[in-house]
Amino acid sequence: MSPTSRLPLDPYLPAIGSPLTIEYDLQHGRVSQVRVSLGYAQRGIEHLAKKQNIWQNLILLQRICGICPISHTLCFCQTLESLAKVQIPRRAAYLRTLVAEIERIQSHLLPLICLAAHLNASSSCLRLLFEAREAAAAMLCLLTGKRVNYDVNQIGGVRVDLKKAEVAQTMLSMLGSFDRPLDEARGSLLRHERLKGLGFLSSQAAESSLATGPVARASGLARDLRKEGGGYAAYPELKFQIPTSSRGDVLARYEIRILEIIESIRMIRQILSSLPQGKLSVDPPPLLLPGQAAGSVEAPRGENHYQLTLSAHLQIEQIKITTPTEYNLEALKMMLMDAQPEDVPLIVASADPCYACLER
Amino acid sequence: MNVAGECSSPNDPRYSQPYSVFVFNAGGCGGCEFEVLSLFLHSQQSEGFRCKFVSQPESADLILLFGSLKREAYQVLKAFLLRFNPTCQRLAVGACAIAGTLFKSAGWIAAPCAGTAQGLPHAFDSSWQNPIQEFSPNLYVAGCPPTPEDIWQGLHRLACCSGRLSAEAARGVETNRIEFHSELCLGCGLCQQICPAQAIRLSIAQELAVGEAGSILVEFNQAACLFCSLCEQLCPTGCLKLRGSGTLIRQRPQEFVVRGCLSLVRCLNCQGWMVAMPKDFIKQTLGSLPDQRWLELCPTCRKIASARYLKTAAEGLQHLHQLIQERGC
Ligand code: SF4
Ligand code: SF4
Ligand code: SF4
Repeated sequence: MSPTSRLPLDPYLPAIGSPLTIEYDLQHGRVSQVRVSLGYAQRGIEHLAKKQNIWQNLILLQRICGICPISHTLCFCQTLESLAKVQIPRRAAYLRTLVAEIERIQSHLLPLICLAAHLNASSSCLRLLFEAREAAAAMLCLLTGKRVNYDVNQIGGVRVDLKKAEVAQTMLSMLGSFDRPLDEARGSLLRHERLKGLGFLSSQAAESSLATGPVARASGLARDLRKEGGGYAAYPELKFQIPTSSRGDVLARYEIRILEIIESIRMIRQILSSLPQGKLSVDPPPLLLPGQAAGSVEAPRGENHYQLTLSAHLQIEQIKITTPTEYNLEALKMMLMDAQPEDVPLIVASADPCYACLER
Repeated sequence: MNVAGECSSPNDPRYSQPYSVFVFNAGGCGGCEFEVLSLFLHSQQSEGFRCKFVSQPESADLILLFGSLKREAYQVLKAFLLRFNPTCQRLAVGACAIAGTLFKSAGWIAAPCAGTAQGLPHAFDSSWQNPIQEFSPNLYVAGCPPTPEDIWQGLHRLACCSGRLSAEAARGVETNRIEFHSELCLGCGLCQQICPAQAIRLSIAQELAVGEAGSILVEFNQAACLFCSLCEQLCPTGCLKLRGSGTLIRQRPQEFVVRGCLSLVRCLNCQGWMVAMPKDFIKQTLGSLPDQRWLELCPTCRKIASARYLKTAAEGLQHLHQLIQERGC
């Protein structure tokens, strides 16, 4: 038998897998080389974006990823707003932040569910985590009318409003429903000895591989666009911390996500208790200007970067999107080096790759 | 769970085993994946009917497809299809899988499970060919993404009735999400212009012979609709409503289409065709109806007539000021 054997992780993983193919070579029972092959789910978003007008693009770009839709429209809107030099009303900034933070909770719960399923956790634990995710989806539905692909942003503001005090009250009371699942995840899931030291990523490696989001923060890099460079939307006015860990293993990445959920809950409390009054959108609607601009936001998985050129007819002439999973791909390869094959799915899940934003 | 048909009794022997579902994730934005995952919770909370996800196609009772099917992914699907039990049910979930919507114009999306060959209404774009005939779903659940309740109900229906639901029972639970009040529509086509999914089409209903009354057909394809509400926001008369209630489960994709008909009338002056003015809307906006003859002129003749009637620009302005003062706006 040859010392190298090649094993694919099927693009269609068992049960609900993502169409993301990761192939690795094994040498002496350890992973020696990793390749990620792309193209199964590529939709050509950038190509389509050039064919559509700005309004339609908001809808299109949102559907890059159904797990973190607002991070994409937020990035797009902020980029165009910086080009048009408009300042959105404070209420709109707060509402954007509110949705973005609920989305972060919901997105961070997903890898925890994957972990629970992979470790064959008790069905009560799995159910608790699922219920927490449902609670996040229900909050989004209360606010925007949709559970997924909520059309919240528009250029110059938002399209949804939190009119009724009862809705805010209900949302506040729903925030309590995250405590038990998080305790359960910490108490039972993260106790597994197996997770310690697994898939180590040093802070130098994280730095050199351009890792972002929870992956970078779990390796000790205090990188977060919500704080860096003054932040955006309503973040400069909110009190929150950026949790980091220096351990850099699978366990640390999950712990960081749990801590971030707790920070998000804190932020949501602050927003709901001090939502400023005012307009939802700049009035009159902003005058878009042609030109070139770039912008980034901190999506749940990390930095989301847009670079675009607006033509004189206000069509998108050129657009380049860089998503967090794209940044984290190199880091994922480094983590997988020398891993044992049975640990590969765990390590991959801890990096939380998203096929939808990777293969636009 | 309120499911139509004779199979809603929780004591049904078919409930004794969980229904095995094989999920084929063909890509897309992941929104459908998100909602399909919620089935786990539905199954946990359900008293009777349950489902479980399986990874082996051979053991599946149902194959659930969602996402934008690229040609590469389609090859994989085809290979899988050979391994399924022939009695296996097929459920298509989401706008991407049923109608391609946003992504179909990229060209490389092999696209959805129902073809133009079946005279699909979503294929408003006739240049779009659909290569897939093999995957012919028994049931369609539309939405972007569909609600988990709809997917759950779709599963339930296929599980209990093997898709052979009587037409009446199937219709009992089907209501449209899009409401269209054709009596208010101006036929301006703004909604068609803005719709990112090309889910709206305005067309001349038939060839018009001289002296015949014509009409414009307005069609909304809920299978392709993303429920983004851009059309609702832009429509000047508010004749479109996305109420968000009702189920979007159908046995044939054609049934997703909501239609409205606008009658065409001849202009009093030039005899050209025009959409009959929505009197209710005009009454609502202006407070009262203007001279009947005014409503029977086409927009061009109306402009000419108003220019003649008001004689000079100054007079026109004065008239406008008067109107503004009267209405206090
Ligand atoms: S139908 Fe909508 S939610 Fe589902 S995969 Fe396609 S774009 Fe995403
Ligand atoms: S809501 Fe209206 S504009 Fe949006 S996809 Fe549906 S029909 Fe088109
Ligand atoms: S539905 Fe509204 S936007 Fe569409 S043609 Fe009619 S009036 Fe115009």
